[in-house]
Amino acid sequence: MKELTLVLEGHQQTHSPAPMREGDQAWVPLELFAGLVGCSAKLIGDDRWGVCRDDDEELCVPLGDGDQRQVNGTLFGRLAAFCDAVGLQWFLCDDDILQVGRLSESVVGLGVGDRPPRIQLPEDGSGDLVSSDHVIGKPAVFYMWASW
Amino acid sequence: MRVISIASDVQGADASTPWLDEAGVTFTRLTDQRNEVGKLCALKYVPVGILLDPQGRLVRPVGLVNIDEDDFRAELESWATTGEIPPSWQQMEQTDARELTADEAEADARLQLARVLLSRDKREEAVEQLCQAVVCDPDNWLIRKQMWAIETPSAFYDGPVDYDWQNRQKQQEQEGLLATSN
Repeated sequence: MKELTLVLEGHQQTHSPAPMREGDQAWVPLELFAGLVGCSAKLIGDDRWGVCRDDDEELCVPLGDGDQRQVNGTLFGRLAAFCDAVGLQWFLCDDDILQVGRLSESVVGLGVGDRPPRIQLPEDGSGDLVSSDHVIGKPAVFYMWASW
Repeated sequence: MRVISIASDVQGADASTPWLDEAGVTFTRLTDQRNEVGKLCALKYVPVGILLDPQGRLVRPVGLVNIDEDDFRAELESWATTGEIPPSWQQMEQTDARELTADEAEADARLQLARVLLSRDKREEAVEQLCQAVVCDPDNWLIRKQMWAIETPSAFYDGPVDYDWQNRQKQQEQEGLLATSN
């Protein structure tokens, strides 16, 4: 697994241990990460953990068997297993950066406060698709221009 | 803050790369060869700014920006520094995303065909399709000016863009191509 830099709501975190990447999945140190995002990691069964929102006792997301693992003595959870359910969104950027932010409740539109329609275009050279979702977590300016 | 360039060009990245290289652009470069952004955001012109806060919400209505304008630069710097949305951005008129009209849809279909024809080195056929697209949607400057640039590249790519030529071309089209289509 490869170590990731966590950027939470646009702010780089330096806590240890760092999140890890395995393929297209991100794994986070469960108790530490939960604390950073207003949640708690709780043991909800025999060796089974859950992630619970601190501001909503009923919102507790149990992790499946394949969603939790011990790494060097620290419990890690698979981010995709609980992130959406507790109101967060996450993206892997630039191979080694994990962006996490709160899910926007805004409607899709073109005005202030709206989420724009999802833009996804190929990057020059690599052809890799870059989406407007990739910039969640920091302010961003898309500048559309033309050479003609 | 992250900055992403989107070059709108049916000819692909090869057309925009020299400008980006000359400007020393180091941020992410994307190319919109299919006018995806124009269709998604009901846009028919450039330059356009799509400014997002860390939660992915617009802080300014999607629309025209002029980076050379002192007021806009000051507002942009202020927002980037403080995160506060300038009052003028909040008061700006906004457009709504919408479905393409039948004429706009035909214009778009012809633009896509022109893109394919250009990729097969069929320039004249591509210009003909763009010409028909302009007849369908004459106010779409994303299509109209690309037709000009492909048909008469010397007015766009040999030194500074020739705006006098563009004004003459526009007048000629009003009296010819677009007059006969009405």
